[in-house]
Formats: sequence, structure tokens, C-alpha cells
Amino acid sequence: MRRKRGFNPLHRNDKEGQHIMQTVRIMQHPATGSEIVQLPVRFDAAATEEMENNILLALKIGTRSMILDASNTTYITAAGLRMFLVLAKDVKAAGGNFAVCNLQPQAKELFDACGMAMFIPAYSQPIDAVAQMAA
Amino acid sequence: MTTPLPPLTLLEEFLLLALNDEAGQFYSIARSTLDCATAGAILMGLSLQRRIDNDLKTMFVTDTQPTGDEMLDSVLRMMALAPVLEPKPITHWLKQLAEEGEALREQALRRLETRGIIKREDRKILWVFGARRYPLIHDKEIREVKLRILGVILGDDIPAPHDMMLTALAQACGLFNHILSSQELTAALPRIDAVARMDLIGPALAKAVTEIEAAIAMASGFR
Repeated sequence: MRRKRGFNPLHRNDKEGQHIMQTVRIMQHPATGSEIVQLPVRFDAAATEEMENNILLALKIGTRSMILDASNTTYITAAGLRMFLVLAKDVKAAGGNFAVCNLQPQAKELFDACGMAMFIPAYSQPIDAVAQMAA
Repeated sequence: MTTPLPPLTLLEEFLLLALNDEAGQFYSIARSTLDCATAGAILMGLSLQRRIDNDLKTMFVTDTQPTGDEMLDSVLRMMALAPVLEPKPITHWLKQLAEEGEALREQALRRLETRGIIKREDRKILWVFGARRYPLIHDKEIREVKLRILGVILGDDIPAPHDMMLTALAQACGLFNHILSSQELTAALPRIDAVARMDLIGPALAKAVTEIEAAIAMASGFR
């Protein structure tokens, strides 16, 4: 897997020249082109606000498959889960695939409590999600 | 050129959904349930605007910047005064706000009146009992809300957060019993339940309603 080259809306600079979204990384799977987004340690209202526009921009410029990797995310809130849904809805509307993977215990508990699996597939590893999307 | 009106709030949409447009009166809903749903709509509104957030255990303020909506902002100010180190569960805030339920509903109804969507009529029944009606002036908004919610519960798309919350409010108040036929309700119930639990405020609201109803029933039994 390699770092995506060229324009990446999650790594652009804002008007003040400050680097934004330092806690979120996007990788692109070389074979399938799926974007794998590494979520921050704490995925709450503040983190989602920062992230939403940038990911939606990524969708506008052609991302069709997105996998959220929550391996580092030890704390997630209702706002974070809502963000999953917003992204899943947008990716689906664009004709793409969306999944989450590596949900840690607290995130998994919340994910299950809200019955998210009905709408969003969750996998153990990004590679499982990539394989499922490629199938 | 006139400034476009802001979109209807969650509480305003919920009140329109709870209004029997033919009778111009609210569907029969227990006052305590309506108060809890009103509180839920306010908390959901603040949550959608990212001013508050919650996990499975607690609800907390994340941003004290005013939203520009006086109803939401007055609640946000009140919540911001709570000690940060003693976060409270969602049901705590629901019950506390439910005490102001009638006043909050009144404000929202006045806004619907001001927007020219409903009007207010006070009548006397048998020359004694007061009865208030809210006949619709324009049915465009109520039709739009009902169609959107029907689309959510009868379709299989991923619902938008706003619609998911509205579904939870309607479910907590039993509004689908009025909006759908019994056959439609039976078919749609699994989907309604799934959508209503997708945001954690929805299940907390259902829990608060049950607890308050049980407390009222117990109090009545001891009289």
C-alpha cells in the first residue's frame, strides 16, 4: 500500500498556511483504488467537523470506495457514528462502497448499540474490506 | 429581496408531524411523553449543530458558541453551567428539559404561527372547557415532513441524521400509529425500530418516557 500522490484534500493547507488534519491519514490501495482513511484517536464532534468537508471533497473529486480504519480510535461518540452514516450515505449515492474496520472495544460497543451493522459493513482488517469490495 | 427563512427546526418538524392536519389538533399523546419528546428534539438539535455530544453513558457540551437559535442557545447556556467533571447521562438532561416542555413547545408553535404555517384558535367546548386548535394555513410543510419520514421508514436507504432523529421522536410518541395503517405499521416496524435506535438520544428518550410513565402510574396507584 502506498501513500496517495498528488492532491489530497485531507492534506491541503488552509489560508493561513497551516497544515490541517494532521491526525487523519489517507492511503490508497494500489490495486483497487479504495481510499483507506485512518481515523484519529478520539473521533468526536470536534474531529468530525474538521474531517467532514475534507472527506466530502475527496468524494467530489472521484473517490468511489472508502474504508475507515479505526485501529487507533480508542474513543468514539455519537457524533463520530453519525459521521459514519453521512459518509456511507454519500459514498453509496455516488455509486461506491463504504466500510469500517478495526473497531476497538468502545467503538464496537457503540456501533453495535446503534445497530449500525444494518447499514455499514464492519471488518476486522482493511484488507478484508478491500477484498469484499473487489469481489 | 427578502431574506429566506431558516429551515424548520427538528422540534418544529416534530410538532407538525404530531399535528392531525384534518382536526387541527395534536394526536392524542400523553403530556409527559410530549414533554420528553420536546426535550429530545432540543437535545437532538444541539447535537446536530455539534454543540453537544454523547457516548453510551453521558452527554456533554462540546462547543458553547451560540447557534443563533434562541431556543437552542438558552438550553446550551443552561447545559454549559453544569460541572464539566460531573457529566450526566442523556436521561438526566431529557428529564430536566422535559420540565420546560410546555414552554418550549409554546415557543416553537409561535414560530410556526409567525411563519404563517399554522394559526391558533381558542374555542369553548360545552361553553366551559377550553380547547385550542392549530388549523394549518399552508399544508406544504406538513406534507413535506410526512413524505420525507414515510420515505425513510418505507424505503431502505441510509437515513440522514435529521430524519433518523425525527423518526426516533415520532416512534417515542407513537405517532406512526396515527400516520400509518395497522398493516403498514406491522410491515414497517422493524425498519422504524432500527432507524430510531441509530442515534443514542432516541433510545434514551424511549427509556425516559417509560420511566416517567411508570412513575406517574405508580403515583396514581397510591392515591
